[in-house]
Amino acid sequence: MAAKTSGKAGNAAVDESPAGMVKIYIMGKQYAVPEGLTIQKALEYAGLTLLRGCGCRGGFCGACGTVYRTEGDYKLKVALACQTVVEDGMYLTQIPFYPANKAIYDIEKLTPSLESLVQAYPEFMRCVQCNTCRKVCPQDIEVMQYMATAMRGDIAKTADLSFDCIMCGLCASRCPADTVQYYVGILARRLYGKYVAPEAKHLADRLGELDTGKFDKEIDDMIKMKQEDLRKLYDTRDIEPAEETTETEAVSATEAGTDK
Amino acid sequence: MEIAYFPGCTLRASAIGLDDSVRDTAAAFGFDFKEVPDWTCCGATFNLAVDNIMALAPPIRILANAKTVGDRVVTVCAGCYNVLKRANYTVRNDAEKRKKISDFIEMEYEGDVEVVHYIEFLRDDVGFDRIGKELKKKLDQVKVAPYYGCQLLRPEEELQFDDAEDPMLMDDLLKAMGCDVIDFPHKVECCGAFLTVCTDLEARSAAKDDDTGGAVSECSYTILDAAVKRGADFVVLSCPLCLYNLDSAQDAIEKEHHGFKKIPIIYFSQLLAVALGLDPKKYALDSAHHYVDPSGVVKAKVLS
Repeated sequence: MAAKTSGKAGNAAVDESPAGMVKIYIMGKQYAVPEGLTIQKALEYAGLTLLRGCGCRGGFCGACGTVYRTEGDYKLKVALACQTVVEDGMYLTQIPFYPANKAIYDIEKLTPSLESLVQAYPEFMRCVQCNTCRKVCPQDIEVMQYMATAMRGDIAKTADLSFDCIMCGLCASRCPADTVQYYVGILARRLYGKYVAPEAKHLADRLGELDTGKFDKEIDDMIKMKQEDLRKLYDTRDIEPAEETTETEAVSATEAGTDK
Repeated sequence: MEIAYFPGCTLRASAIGLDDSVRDTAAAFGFDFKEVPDWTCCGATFNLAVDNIMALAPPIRILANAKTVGDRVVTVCAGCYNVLKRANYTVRNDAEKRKKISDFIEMEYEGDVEVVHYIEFLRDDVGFDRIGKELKKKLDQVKVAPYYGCQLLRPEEELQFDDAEDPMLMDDLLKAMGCDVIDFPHKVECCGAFLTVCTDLEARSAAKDDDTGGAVSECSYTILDAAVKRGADFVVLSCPLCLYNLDSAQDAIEKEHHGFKKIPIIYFSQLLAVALGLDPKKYALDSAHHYVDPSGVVKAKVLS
């Protein structure tokens, strides 16, 4: 593990956890840590300095994949260390980096097709649909399902089903066929974004406005502003667009893929 | 109760005309198929190693998912039918494997879903008599060779689709549709099956030193020549792999066998859809989906 312990909180082994503390095992060694901490904070409480396997601390970057088991249960479970609170009797190990096969490709030269996926990751067709990936996904993504849609060349569906992936790589770490689900998923999302999704007209319009310098003066003015005035401007900004749309309307417009 | 429908991967890719024609003809007869939720590949071939339990997980998961829809699952691809039905047979007859797979896929499944081929569905739920009455096109000028291949029929004890040596179910359907069905002694000959993936089309042109020794084109030749000599306009089948072999091998056959006449290969459900008056353009009866373009014969014999 790419972490080092300073040893200052190197607690002695305890049988009974003191009040307010829970007993956890880090790389097989027992520690008592305050209950309510996340796994990540517990690691730090125990004296580890996290050099790798730790990123945004907000559940988005996928760097802190963790495999654990609790006493009395055979099941291996997974979590993001920054998002999961320690439980008594947790045996923890961190998966900071997994050496999964990562293809280099030029998205400009691909087509949104099964062939593109197979060319980049021929091994993904070895999937036997055991569903192990689904069972270890900390995001509860239907991983096997998007591998199934990928194997029948449905790029849009694969992109959709894998959308919440944070690229932690736990799926690949447990795959008996050595496939790299998360890389297949992101390739499908890239192909979808580039070739399948309808172009967002409002984005093109706004980029055009930027090119013609429509906002240059506004930005220049802001750069010259006093901090106090800038803060005032920020606090009184329009958070929602001026047009009156209810939340449900906005949601259904997004789902229908319109440019409203 | 709703009827579950399992299309299978090939039907969402190269055999799209088979999938669309099954869904639309079922709808035309008033049946609303519901796709099995979260379906995956069935495995494509049934694993013959008795201790390879992993290969049973996908088809049994599919059957367990089908159960959330209803007590029957209709499928049409001969490969899917073979795998699902045999997996079901295994679950029903091998308690130890059933338990092991249930534990692994974390779903209870006791083998209580019936796997039904679409032709069986047409016989039992729609009724061949009714089909004959509802057709909009007369097919009495259409001479067809019904071809069953292997996967629909064997092993007979597990599949119980029809007599494995002399099946008549597709013959009966086509007769009910008013077709002129030829007596076709090669209806259960092997097309070469997965030997087709051994090598590329060029090498399959009966060159004796290729991986298959020209096996696929030679198998296909035997079947197709028999159909052509009996005057068939189409070979009609329900298996995407058979269609691929019989269809794609014809260039190679033409080179090897002087005087061979090409014949289009189509799915029974494509013919049914067109005969029901559904839009023929919707069912991939074209050169984009066939090596031997069936559109000319469809137009001349079915639509005229």
